[in-house]
Amino acid sequence: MTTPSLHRQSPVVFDATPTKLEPQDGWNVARSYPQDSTLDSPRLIDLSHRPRWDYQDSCLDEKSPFGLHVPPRPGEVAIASGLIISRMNRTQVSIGSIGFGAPPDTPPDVGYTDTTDSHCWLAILGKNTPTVMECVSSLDLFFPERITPFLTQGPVLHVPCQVVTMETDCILISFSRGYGQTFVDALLHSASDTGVQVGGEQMFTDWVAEKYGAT
Amino acid sequence: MTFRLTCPVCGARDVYEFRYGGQERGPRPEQAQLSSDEHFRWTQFRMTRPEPQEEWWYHTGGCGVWFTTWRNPATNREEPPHEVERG
Repeated sequence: MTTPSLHRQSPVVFDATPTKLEPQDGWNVARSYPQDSTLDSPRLIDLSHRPRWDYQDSCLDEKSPFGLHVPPRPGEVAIASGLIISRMNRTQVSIGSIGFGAPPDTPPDVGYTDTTDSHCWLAILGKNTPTVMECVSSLDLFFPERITPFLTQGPVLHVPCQVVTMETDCILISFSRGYGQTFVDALLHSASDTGVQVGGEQMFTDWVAEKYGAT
Repeated sequence: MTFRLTCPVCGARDVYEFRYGGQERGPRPEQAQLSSDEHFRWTQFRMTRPEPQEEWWYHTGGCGVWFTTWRNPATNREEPPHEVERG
């Protein structure tokens, strides 16, 4: 008798057939799509399979979740060791894996909550990323006086989101999983004039490697 | 109708990102010797005057923080409380 393998389902399904589909920790991850060879239009990439955590502590400034330095002010973001850590408020940070290789296990500290399976996590990549976001949100996500990467918490398509502006050509959006498919459908429709298309995870990992090295 | 409120975490945002949480009404009165009329007034009775009042708001579309701010219902602008005129 064989034990059934763990199967985890992304909250979004793209209307496209990937050219490279790989299993990873129970997820079927679309690494690439046929149109991925050139980044001539913005791409919407599903990162929901990548591990995410919330970490909470009343004395957050004295803590180092996953050994990371906690950004001192809400809205500040730091990237180290393949992890991105975003300060949400006085007591909470969200942490996500954007690097290569195996992500760390969740430490036993009670301050950690694994939010991988409760959130949808998307990336928008490409030079028209600001135009895409203007189609779906009134948030000021590219205020030039803020230092990238930075976190904005607010509505995108009326859905409460955490939006990390990595650069002007890359945005990360996370929100409750239940909104996932409707959110993606609405975004692709609303921003269709920009030529936005779905993209594979490989485009995102290549972008991260170019900006931050093979973390 | 719209106006902006200043979230202590996210900064100035459209009021449609927030949920109104009512006027700040001070600490709950001591229950001992509290008359039913006083209890009713603390729990139910509200007075809105055309002057700044302290209010609770919840940033439901953003960071999810409860906070208080002073807003003038006559202008829908955040204003500091008026100084009490001394006779």
